Amino acid sequence: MKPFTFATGMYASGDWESGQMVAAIVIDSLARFTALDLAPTGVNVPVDSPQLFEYPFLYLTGHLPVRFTSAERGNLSRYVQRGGFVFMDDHNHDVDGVFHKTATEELGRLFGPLRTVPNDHALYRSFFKYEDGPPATSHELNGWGDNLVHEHLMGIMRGDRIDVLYSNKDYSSEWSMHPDSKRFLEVDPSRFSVNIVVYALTR
Amino acid sequence: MRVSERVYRARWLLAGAMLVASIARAAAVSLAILLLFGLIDLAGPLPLGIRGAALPASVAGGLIALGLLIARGRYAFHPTRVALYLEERVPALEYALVTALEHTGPGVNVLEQVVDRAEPEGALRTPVIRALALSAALLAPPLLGVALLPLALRERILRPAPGDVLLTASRGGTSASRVATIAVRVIPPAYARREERRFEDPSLVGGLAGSRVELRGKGAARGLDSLRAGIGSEALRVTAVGDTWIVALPMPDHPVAVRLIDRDYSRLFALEPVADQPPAATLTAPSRDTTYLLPRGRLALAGSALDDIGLVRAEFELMHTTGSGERFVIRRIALGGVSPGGAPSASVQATLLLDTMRLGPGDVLHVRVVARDGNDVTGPGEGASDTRTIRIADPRLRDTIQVIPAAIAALDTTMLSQRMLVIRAETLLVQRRRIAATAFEDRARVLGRQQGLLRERVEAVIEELTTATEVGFTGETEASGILGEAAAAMKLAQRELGEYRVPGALPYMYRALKALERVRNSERLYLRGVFPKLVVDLDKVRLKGTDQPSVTPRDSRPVLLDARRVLGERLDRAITLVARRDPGARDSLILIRVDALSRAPDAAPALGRAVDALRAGRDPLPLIATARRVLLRATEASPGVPAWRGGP
Repeated sequence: MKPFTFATGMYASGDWESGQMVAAIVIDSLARFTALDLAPTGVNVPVDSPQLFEYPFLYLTGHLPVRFTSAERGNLSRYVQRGGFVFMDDHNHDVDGVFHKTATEELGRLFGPLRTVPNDHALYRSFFKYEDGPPATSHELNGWGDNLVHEHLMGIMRGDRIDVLYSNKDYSSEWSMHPDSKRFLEVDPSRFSVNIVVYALTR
Repeated sequence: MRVSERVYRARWLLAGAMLVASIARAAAVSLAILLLFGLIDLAGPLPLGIRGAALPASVAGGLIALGLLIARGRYAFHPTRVALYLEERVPALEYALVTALEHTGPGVNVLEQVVDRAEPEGALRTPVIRALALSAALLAPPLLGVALLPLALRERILRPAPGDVLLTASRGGTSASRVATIAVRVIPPAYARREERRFEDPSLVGGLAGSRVELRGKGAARGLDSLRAGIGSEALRVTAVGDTWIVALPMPDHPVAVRLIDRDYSRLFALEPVADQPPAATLTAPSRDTTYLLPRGRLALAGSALDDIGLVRAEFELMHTTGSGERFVIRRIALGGVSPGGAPSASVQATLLLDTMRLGPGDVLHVRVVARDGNDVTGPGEGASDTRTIRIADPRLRDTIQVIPAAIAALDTTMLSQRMLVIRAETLLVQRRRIAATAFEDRARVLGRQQGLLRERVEAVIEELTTATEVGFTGETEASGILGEAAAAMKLAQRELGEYRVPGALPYMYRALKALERVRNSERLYLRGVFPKLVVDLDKVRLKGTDQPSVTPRDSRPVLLDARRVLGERLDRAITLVARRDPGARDSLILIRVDALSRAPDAAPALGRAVDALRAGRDPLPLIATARRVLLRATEASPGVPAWRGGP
């Protein structure tokens, strides 16, 4: 069995590479809290390439407009249809931001409208328990971006199973730190990433 | 009167009578055919297709009869045959008429005198009158029969149209089902500019989503109390106009089964919407993504759009993004728009003058074609082409060399930490009166230490920024200068905190935070296409996390049923009903077809034909077998799709 590899999706438009530290911090958290067999480093995989099908989990982020090409759209659609899990995070943490508008438009075009993931969803108890739904990020608490604490995550769902998880909470910034920096923090901010990955692998 | 004149006059009389009689008899044949259709329809409603053939058959029958009759009486136009006809009926002529007609020499006068004496015209009166009377007698019965047919029945035969099933006489009196015979009108929304469609006793009704669907039946005069219509648990309103009951509803956006109930009778039919597809847009120029060194020159844009109904707008959408880090300004520009006025296709062209676009280094321009249709019911449908990304090169960015961006990430977290330190110092100050002096000093000292650690991180970032090579800059940058201010302020704050002077430390801490925020908004380095290879030391951190997970047992998940297999099982049960000639078989097939339209569209056509066959009294089993084969065929690999290799 192949070890779990954290894959970051590379798409032609926008700045797919803005969450540079996310892979490392997620892998670090998975190692700290789980016995999952892990690849020690993440990979970047073009969304329109067949390599995408080598990874069951895909992370997408950015600040700039998201406009998938036909090839990216087709590949991403097949990826989700065939069981791949996509976690897309708005690095702008702004509902009026262009990433949010264009990314949700693209997801809607591909899979239909996004639905609210209820705060008692299995995602919030797949490893750590989050009674109130998705944990707030310091960006939200500091009033940056759209000045909102987003109470829900969104998703493309089949029944209650999440295929595509979409976040406005800017976990990409929250988790944008060297794993070693966690020692300065009382609570590991990337704990929630364990829930997301465990959920993606066991849903 | 000369012989030839007599013969010609007789000829016109006979020919005229022959023509009138032929027309009357042909009309009799034609009306008899119509009457036959009418009587059969009266006995049991004829299908629309057969009724549609009644009038052509009647006209054809009449024309054939007319042709035969005229061919038979063609000798009435021939003078010699007319003369012989008269000779046959007037023996006193003694062939003087025929001889005089053919002979022009001397002696004709004698022959004419013989003819004059015989006066042969009188012999024509009786046969002409008899022929006309007989023709009238032949015409009268079918004419009367057609005239006596009910007006509605005549309408159904003479002007057959879908939906005129309601014109048939009701049978069975008040105990008969009022939902057994229905007509359906589907009126498309105005924007579609399509004609309405009518269905007679349908099992499946198709139409554009958003159309107005009207179901009509007879027997409303008996009251509407026991008449119900619904989709699932949703009841539909039934109204009455005269003896006609009407149910009106919009064509939904997904297939549904409508059930009509009249006392113990019920029937089912499917509404199968056809979705108005959004326009398909194509951007043909530019044909690929481009990076311009300088925003100069012209860029030709070309594209096209197609729609299944009609386009109202097509244009280029430009999205200009300028900025960096997390501060971007977006400008949307529409260009080269056309209004095709409902045409199904349109092309758009424009020229982009890059010099006038106020583009700067690092800016990004996304170009695509956007088209909208005129759907004002469920739309508007909007389609967009692929997007081309036009980038303006930023000399500070390097696409081809590795840029190590650790400084950026470190800055973000440093700023967060500084903000947290400020909050904790402010909190400590507020709590000062409520806690022991020693506790206050201890916590101030801890804050001082943390401030020192932060300062070291900032200084490390300064070091990286000023010593990085091959990244397009050397020495001190704007960011490193501001970071120097932050580090200096942090040092002073650290000193104050180390001596428990929290009020004295806070101004320096604020100054450091502001400096960090300035750095955050200053020029940032972002790499393109290259990612830092950060390898996590898994052995070192494995299961070292101190937070306690709280994994709760997962709820048992409902098994995701294979929709095709479920439909196949339902089809098997329907086959049993069909074999038993159970009246519910048709309803079962309709319900399976409704679900198949969304879950197994490839099996839906055969199911639809099976429903039609069952309705028409034909054997639906071969078609059901086809649908079942399609439904349950093994999953096949699509060529070109890579094999799934995801793990674990």
